[in-house]
Amino acid sequence: MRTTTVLSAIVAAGLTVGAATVEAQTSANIQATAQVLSALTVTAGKDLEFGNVTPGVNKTIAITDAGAGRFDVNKATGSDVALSFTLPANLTSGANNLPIGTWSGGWNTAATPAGATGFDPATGPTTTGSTASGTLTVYVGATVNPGAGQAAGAYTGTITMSAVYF
Amino acid sequence: MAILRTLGLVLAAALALPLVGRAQGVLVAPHAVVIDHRTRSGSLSLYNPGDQPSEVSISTFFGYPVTDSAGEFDLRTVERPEASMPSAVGWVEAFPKRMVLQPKERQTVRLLARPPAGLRDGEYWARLVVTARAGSVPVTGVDDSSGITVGLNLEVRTVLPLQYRKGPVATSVRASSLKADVKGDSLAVRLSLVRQGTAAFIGTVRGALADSTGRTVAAFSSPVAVYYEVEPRFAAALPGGRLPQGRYRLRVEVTTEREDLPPETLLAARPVRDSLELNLP
Amino acid sequence: MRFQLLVMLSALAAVPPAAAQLAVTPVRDLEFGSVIVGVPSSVAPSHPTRSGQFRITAPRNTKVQVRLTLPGELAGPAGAQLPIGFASSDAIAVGDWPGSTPESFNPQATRNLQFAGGTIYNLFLGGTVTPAGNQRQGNYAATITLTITNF
Repeated sequence: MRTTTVLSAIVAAGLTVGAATVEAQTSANIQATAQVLSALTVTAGKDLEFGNVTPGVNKTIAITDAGAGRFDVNKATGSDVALSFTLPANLTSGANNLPIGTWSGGWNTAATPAGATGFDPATGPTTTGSTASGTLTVYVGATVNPGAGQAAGAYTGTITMSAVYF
Repeated sequence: MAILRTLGLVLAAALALPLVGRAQGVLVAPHAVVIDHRTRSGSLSLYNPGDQPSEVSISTFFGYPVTDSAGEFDLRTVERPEASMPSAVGWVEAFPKRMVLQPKERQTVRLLARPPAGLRDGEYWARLVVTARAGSVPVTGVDDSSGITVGLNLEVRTVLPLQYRKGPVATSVRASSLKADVKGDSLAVRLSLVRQGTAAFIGTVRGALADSTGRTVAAFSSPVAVYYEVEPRFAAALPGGRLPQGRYRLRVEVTTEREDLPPETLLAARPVRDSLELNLP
Repeated sequence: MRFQLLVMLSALAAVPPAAAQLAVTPVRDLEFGSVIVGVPSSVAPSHPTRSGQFRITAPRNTKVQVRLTLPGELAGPAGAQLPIGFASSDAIAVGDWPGSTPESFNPQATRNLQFAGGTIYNLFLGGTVTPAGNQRQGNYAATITLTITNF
């Protein structure tokens, strides 16, 4: 009987212990990891639009005009990017040329040509410097010089802007 | 005359991406690539942020930064590098070389190197050119009855440095000929930097102008890349656009720190310092 | 009576504490790899190599509750933070026994799992990081904790 009582007590204690472990927690960890890469983005944002052009009448689009072309550059803060251009001397339509030149340019850390740092796209690269802002807006203007007898046609050309990271 | 007058209205020369707000280009990451000879591979991530497909191609050439007489950086291109030049062009290739990135599409480009046998330890250079174009362009501002169309292709290029490193490489720079002068509302500083060691010196030049009490009145910080020799120009804006007369000291420090590049790609070197005294009348 | 006591004692000795039967093991980190400034990057929970994975071991027919403690940002260089988010379908739990179907669930809520046909559950986790346009470049990390409660 005594043995039974002792054993019953032991069993009861064991069950009590068991009851204490019925709701148990355990946990583990993993990591979430990523490596952020700095990037350089160059996009052609807007046409250089001359609209209608009259034969024999030069037409100029300044960088402050609504028709100015626009490129957008996003670079890492603290980096320096040089901008250079490959520009056509003529727009062509078959055997016909439409001269284009007197290029003008300006870059700004704000999305406005007002206050832009001017440069000549036709000469060597312009360095933007290590700007606090990583966003640059680059404006381009030019003059088309149609002859008096300029033929009608589809005139095309290519403007290339290179963003050079040193 | 009537015909000419009519035609006169219809020449519409345009850089004709007619969709307002459409942006054509590519995002390239990282903006500098370092390849280790032990892996002989690297990668670029390209991303089209625009809403139109972008044709992208990748090529290489040999070039390195130089400065002109005004201290402005330019990239010297060498079509046929001499044997003594550490060119990696010709044995570093991109895969794929051409692709069409759909809007918001990302593409990983593998850069694989197959260096010549017996390549000596050192650093070898190439420039990666990532070219993105929109393709042919429709028309804006045209009188349809004229039958005249105009289009202009826009192309953007991103030119990045690639450095291939084999074996132990080291870099440092020798600074000399420090000059400074007040030009307008800025302090213009020139410094000659000549690379030492076997790898390009990639770092930052910082300058601080202090008055006779030791107070800093103007400062500048500019990233530099010295492959051979450069003499860059730096500018520090002056407070109020001018400096009172007196004695000043300009201190310049050249370090291998760069906040825009992963530190593991930078080669450490001891900072180089120089200074000069300025007496402003 | 003695026999009954022996049976009871044997049964007591044979049943280890519940905590010893239950285990959760980290198998794989949630790896976004290289992400580009300004470009959100997602990993699906079904990604074979990048999704995070835990393995939960429990006796058959055990019922447990799983709870994920998720970060809102990954910590990076110089105190920079990279936002991370978890969609309602960014977690999947699947038992390793035949016929077990993957259960998609919201990792931001608790989930009850029953080890109906076996002793192992795998839990997979995806997510999305959203680097800012001026996000500082470098390595970012954060801890994800899985806590399981045995009923």
